Amino acid sequence: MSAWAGLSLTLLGSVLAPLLVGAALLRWLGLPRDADWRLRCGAAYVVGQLAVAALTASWLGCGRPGSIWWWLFAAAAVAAWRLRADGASRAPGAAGAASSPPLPRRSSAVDWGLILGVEVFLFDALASRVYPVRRSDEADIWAAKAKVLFAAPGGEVAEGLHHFAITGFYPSWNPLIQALVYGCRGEIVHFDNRLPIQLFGVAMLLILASALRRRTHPWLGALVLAALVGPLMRALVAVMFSDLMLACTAALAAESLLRWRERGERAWWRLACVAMAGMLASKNEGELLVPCLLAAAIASRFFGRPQALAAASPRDTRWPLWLLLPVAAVLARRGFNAYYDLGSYLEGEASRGVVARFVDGVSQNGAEVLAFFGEMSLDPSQHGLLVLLFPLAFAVCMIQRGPRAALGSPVGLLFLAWAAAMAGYLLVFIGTNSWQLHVAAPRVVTQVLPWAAVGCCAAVWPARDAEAP
Amino acid sequence: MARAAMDPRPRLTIASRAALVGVLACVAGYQHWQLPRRIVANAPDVVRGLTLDDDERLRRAMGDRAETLRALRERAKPGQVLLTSRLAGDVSALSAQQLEELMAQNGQLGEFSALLYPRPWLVQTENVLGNLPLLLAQGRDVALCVFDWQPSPAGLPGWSRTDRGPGFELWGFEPPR
Repeated sequence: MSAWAGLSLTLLGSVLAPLLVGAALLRWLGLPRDADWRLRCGAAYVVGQLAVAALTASWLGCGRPGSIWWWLFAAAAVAAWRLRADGASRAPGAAGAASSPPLPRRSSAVDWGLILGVEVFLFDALASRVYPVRRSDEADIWAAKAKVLFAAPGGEVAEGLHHFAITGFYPSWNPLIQALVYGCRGEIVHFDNRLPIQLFGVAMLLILASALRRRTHPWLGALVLAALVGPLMRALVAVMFSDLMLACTAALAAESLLRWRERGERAWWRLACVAMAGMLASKNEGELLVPCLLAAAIASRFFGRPQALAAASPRDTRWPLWLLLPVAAVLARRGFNAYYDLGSYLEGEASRGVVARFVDGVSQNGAEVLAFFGEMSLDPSQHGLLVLLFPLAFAVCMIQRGPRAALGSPVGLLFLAWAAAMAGYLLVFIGTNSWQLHVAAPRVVTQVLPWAAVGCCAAVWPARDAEAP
Repeated sequence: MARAAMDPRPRLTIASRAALVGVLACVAGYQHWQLPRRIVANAPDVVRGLTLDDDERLRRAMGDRAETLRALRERAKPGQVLLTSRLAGDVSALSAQQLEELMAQNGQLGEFSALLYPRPWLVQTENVLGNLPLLLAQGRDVALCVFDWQPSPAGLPGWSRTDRGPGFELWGFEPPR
């Protein structure tokens, strides 16, 4: 098959079809039609990939009956029908099509940073198409699990998960997306399976651009986007690790929670719950970040104005039910692991108990972990100093607005979530070994970099229409 | 008026904004000043990625080893497991060059395994000559794959070469009577 034919099939089946399904699902969730197109595109990609991954899991679970194209065609047809029916029946601004918050003026300057970031990401993604997926975590963890799910010899998935995919217990969203590519191509491929994962980087930039133009000065937003697209982010785009998927879904979850909090439109809460399910389905660290985000939202509410709950109808008690989505994501992963008897290689250490591991770790490598994080936060090529800048920016925000107002603001929510996540990472690395620290620390910090980027800018230079004191 | 002039907050606002803009501008500049050069350097990769088919890209990435991969895939039977020897153990006696060679060979095995699965399933194991007969006794369709840098079991009782390809040999085992 020629490169163009293969690329076209991959784009059609694993990028455009999920986008269409995601757009229809956003409409079903009730997202305002006039919401920022950047956020709509980014969110549609995330939501669509989640939905189509569930479809792929069903297809694989049923033993791959027929071609995946029939399943995709059916899903896309339903999505298109839904979009068309919805478009015909509702005029903009009519009941049900809630209006989004007013946009700051001159906010499109953020798009210069977005254009630069998208250009850099797409270029790196295209340049990586000459290297097959053959080594490191992208081959040994993510592609290995996808291959087992798609084509285990004799259907012996359990044997493949135990002996070929060395970390079969990792979440399955990334492997399911790759299995979709294999299904679309009719065989296992070693180049094009990266593409739909890499595009989560573009989705993340779109979501970030939307958040930044709402929350900070547009030129500062453009600048931070340009700073964010550094060598480490680019390295993550060139491969198909799940860290960018987690960063993307974390950015979407936080922004949706903030908009729900500010406006009380239930659609944002639903979208936040879907995004949190995505966080949990993308990487194990999601189980740390989702509680951090929810705890920060609750803590921040004590200091801020609870518009979201005030806007809720007193009789409407169904909104917490949407939390069942993230719960379902956790149960699905744990159920899968229990069914195939999969466990983490860290479980042996875990049996010693969290406290014992931490106490041992503090004396053994506490200083090393702190020194490593300190060094990392000063390296401009790694994280653009955002790890260091965010606490400083938040301190400035607290001086300017007062601690209570700062903690109750959107910046406060982002800071609390980010600080809790960073503390969690530190504890995890103190409780594990030095090898984990050097291999994983720079990468996992990128997962919460979007929170730091938006929070840092909004703390120091808030958009006039959003949260000026 | 005088009180407003003494209020440190506007000055803090201006200073913090200027500092953040300055730092971010430096970081962005530091990260992107080589962007045009990088684009020019990587443009051929982008073109190759968009124009060459998968086989050709694999051939260019793997060099001579691409032929080994193709031949192994063609000659392996569906569902067959190929065992291959993975070197491990005490490396303290090895020189730096030997250690580098060993790591390269194990890395090569990892790449083969990743690119071949599921047909054939190339399994790396340490005690390959001991493990293979055990798997055969369990009724598995399994053969020994010996790459050109690995020692073959030639001369050992029960082992016979069943196939040969570019850079590899396949060996079967039958318990001696």
